[in-house]
Amino acid sequence: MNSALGFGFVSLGFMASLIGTFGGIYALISGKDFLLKTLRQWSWLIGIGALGAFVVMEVAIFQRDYSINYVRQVGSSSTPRLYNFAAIWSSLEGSLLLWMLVLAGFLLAVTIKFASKPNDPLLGWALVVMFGVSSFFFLILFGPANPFVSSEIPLGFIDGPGPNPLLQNHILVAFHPPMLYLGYVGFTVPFAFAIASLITGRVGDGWLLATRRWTVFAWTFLTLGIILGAWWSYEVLGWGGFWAWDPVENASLLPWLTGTAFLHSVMIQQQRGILRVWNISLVCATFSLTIFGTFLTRSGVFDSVHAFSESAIGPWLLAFFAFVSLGSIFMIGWRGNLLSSKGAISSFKSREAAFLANNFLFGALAFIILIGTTFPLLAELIDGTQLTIARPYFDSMGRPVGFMILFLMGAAPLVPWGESSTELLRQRLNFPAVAGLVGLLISVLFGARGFYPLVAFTLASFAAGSALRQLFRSVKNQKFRGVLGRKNGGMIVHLGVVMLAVGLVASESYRVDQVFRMKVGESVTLEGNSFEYVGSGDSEDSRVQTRFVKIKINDNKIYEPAITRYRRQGIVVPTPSVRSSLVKDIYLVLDESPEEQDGPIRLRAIVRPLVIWLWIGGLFMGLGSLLAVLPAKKKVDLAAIVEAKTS
Amino acid sequence: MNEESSFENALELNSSVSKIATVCGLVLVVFIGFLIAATLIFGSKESESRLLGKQAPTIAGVSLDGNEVSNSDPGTWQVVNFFALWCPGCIAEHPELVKFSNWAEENNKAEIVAVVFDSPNLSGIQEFFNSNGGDWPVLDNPSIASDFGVGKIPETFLVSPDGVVARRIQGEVVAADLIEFIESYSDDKIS
Amino acid sequence: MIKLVKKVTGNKFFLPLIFLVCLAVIGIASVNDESVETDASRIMRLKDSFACPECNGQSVAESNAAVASNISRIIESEVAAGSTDTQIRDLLLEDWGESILLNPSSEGISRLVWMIPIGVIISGLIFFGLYLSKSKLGLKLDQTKLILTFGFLVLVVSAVAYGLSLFVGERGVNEAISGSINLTPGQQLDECEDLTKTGRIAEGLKCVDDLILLDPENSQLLANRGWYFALAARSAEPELSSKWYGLALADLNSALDIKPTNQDALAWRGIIYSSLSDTTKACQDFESVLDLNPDPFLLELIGPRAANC
Repeated sequence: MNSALGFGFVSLGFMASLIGTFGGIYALISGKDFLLKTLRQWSWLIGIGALGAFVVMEVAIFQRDYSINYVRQVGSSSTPRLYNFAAIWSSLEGSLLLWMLVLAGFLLAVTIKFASKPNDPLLGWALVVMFGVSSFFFLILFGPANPFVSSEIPLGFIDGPGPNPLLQNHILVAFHPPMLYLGYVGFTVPFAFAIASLITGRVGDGWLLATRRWTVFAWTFLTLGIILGAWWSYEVLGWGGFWAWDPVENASLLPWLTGTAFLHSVMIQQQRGILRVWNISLVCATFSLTIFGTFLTRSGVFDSVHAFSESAIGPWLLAFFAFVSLGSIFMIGWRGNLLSSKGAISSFKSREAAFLANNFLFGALAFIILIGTTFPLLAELIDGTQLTIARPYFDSMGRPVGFMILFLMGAAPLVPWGESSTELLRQRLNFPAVAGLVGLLISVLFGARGFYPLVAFTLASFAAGSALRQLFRSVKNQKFRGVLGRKNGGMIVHLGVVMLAVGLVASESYRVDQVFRMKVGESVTLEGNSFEYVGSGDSEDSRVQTRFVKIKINDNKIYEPAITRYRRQGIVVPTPSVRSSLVKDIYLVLDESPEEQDGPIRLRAIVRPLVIWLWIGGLFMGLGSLLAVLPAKKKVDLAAIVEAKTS
Repeated sequence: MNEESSFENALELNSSVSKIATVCGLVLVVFIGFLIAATLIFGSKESESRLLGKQAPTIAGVSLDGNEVSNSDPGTWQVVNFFALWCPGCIAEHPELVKFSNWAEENNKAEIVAVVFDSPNLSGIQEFFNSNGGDWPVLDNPSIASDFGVGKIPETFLVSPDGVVARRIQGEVVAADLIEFIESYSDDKIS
Repeated sequence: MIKLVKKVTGNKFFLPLIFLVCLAVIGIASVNDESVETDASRIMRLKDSFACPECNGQSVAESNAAVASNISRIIESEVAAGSTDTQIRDLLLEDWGESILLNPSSEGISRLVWMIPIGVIISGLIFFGLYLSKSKLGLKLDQTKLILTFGFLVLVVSAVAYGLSLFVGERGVNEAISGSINLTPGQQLDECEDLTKTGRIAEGLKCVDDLILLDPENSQLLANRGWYFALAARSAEPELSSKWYGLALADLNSALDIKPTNQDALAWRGIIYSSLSDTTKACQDFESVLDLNPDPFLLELIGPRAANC
């Protein structure tokens, strides 16, 4: 029954999406207004379809309805309730249900928000595009990735395996996918409006202004989702790092990069009406990259610890990616004349030039990561060679770009619009420049050495100085409201980025990593910290067997890194124990557990400075984003309004 | 601006934007071509494995019906099949495995060893075999799966009579496929 | 006070001065004390430069896989035994092939992965420069053009230089660590030693075999052959390694039969027993070694394992 009901909802959604897409295209081309008005109804039906399917599957999982194949794969009677809720998206088909649910949510939100303009073709086309995307996802839910396939419960089957135990380690982890999806799927909205603007020829600011908050919303969740993933990787997986340059990780970073560039570049279009081609290209690239990322994760073509490794829907996703990306390029080429703007960048020293450079740098970084990720595959295709492209590549190629971005992050807010006098620029640069020097001196004082880290710290301090300068002035003028609004919120985000950059550079460049062979009672030291092996112990429950050791750090607290064996899966995973402080993290992981109680061990100790600032920086980025969408005291900008109305 | 004239304009490719778009489009087409090739080639069932060509990991233990199983001196082909009852593909391929098992017994060329993967319940397995046929040993030893690097089932490994891993199949197996592989392998064996 | 600050910061040399001070500080502070690299940081650096063969790009340091741990331990013991970076690299290359290197080399198709992004970025820069110079730049066209062209050239040149450095640096490093081994003339056993130390264990075994043919009752030769068997065992598959260890023990036992006070044989046999987790016999052997007042190199070799007795 669940199976039929669920499939019914999927079919409903699929039908509604198809009718919405083709009916909408017809209505818009023929100009029949009344048909346009009915478009909204399809949104509701799609919403019902997506929500219904999702709810039915959740109910089936909670009921342990094992007649459904998918529930057999991800359900289990022993999973705690919360993680059982998250079980739905732990495997391929269910994750698509979640994707569709989020998409339907955004679709409805757009429908409701813009209800006051039912006949506007721009809105109409945007809805059609979103209907089209829904059609695709419902199509694969209907066909190749049907989650509601049911079959006779094999005789003897009693219970399912439940989600991967590593995913049940921490509550935040369970909600990592929804956060990422809010980000990925959220970019569908500005994309839809961008395509709509290309189709209708209204390539001015209208679509940008309409979707600004949506873009920020999507960007915020994507940022938080990525950082959460890194945090989990560090705290739970036990390999001692937070970013492995894994293909799936990179796939999430690519749309973030183009999305960030887009977020900045639209400011130029709003102020000066230029860079229109860039903006449309960036938003189309962002959406295309989210589809590419989905393909990468689910096609089984790229080897990754994250991958769902399901090759059946790979071709479908690839086809959709080709359609979206080539379609976007075609439309941009078609509207080329319209898009080319009348204005131009008049000076190197203008904010427009800075933002153009910004686009270029983020694009370069995205390109480097894309090449690094896909090259091993291409090399294997052409030559048969098995290549490994990992950290050293991304570090050496990405570093110069990263430095330039840091510099620009500091410089751009200082540079005035249009042609500027050197005098004004010089005046604005004073405080940040001094901040840069001070930051450098403080770093050196605290023992930082080495060319690359020091350059990074100087640039980061410079950027911080620039952001603080803006915030000080704004708070001085408007008191607490001085932190609201796009510019000020943005400065707080920049501060978050500075913290993240400092944390990243410090924790990677000054990491000390050593393995010690220890007997019970012995003490070793690393970077001025002492570790004493106090003893070992065992614990077990129905799911895991844990052998842990007690390590006393600096004669103070005891930390317990362990080796955990998940009984049923046979996986043995080292569980780290991390002591975090504002200044450094001490990361302990067992390389070799004791063979008997209090036996000798091999302990791996990693001391990384300033790790916590990665997570604090991430929080600031989220906070700043939120503040940026709250209204500040707006200065009425006649020029912008006139520009918008006449383009 | 009405849409027909802009379409004509597009065909002239006046705008530099159109030119750049064309170039980008072509590059993208090449890239997508690579991805298509990759999906076709690497998405297939016959998969890479670091074990191919090497000695198979030890398979040892007591099967569910109480017999000692070990691959230390096989002398015959071993089809190592990882499965679980919650895996629909495994259920679907079971009849094929039964077919293969009959052929193997008749020709004395191979034997199947099944290994349970990530299953909380073992008692039902015997019941399943009773009603669906198949009499090969079933091992419940989670470390075998990790030795073979199995992450997703159904997955089957073909181990030659000298104990070398000859093939890795991800997804459901087909009896005829297995039989053909074993027969042709013996003919052009590489030492 | 504020007036003074305003005066200083208003000076047109203020910003350039700050910039220069920053450069100076960075310059001074980035002169690393490179003279002494501790064993520990060397091990860390080496572990970071080799990839775990089955983990998609994670370094041996980062991965939890069993094979990564094995390689880690090989690195640790090789460093303890005094091997150079080159020898360690060659040893691992022999067992695992090119995929063990974490940094893609600059030969063959890998070259493309460095060249494509640099090429595209340089083209982008050229484009960017052309665009800026084409768009109306105001009245001071000539002067601006000059600055632009100059700045642009600087960018291109630095980009090319950086790209080259990646190449040359890469190749230079490759050259340095693939270097040539000078075989020292002298004792024939030393030759066999050298072969083994550079990872050519099979050749080392043959070398010492030849010597044993000429002098079958030589305890030192037998002991060395036993040790080479043990080294072979370390890098072989689990199935074969027990066979190698068996051969190793046979030789070492023979060596000790001939000369019970052979320090090397005792130490090596102890290490083998310790690798086979036979702690009792290992400790017996280590004790015997210690009783014989061994030379410091041996002490260092057995140190970590003997500590567990």
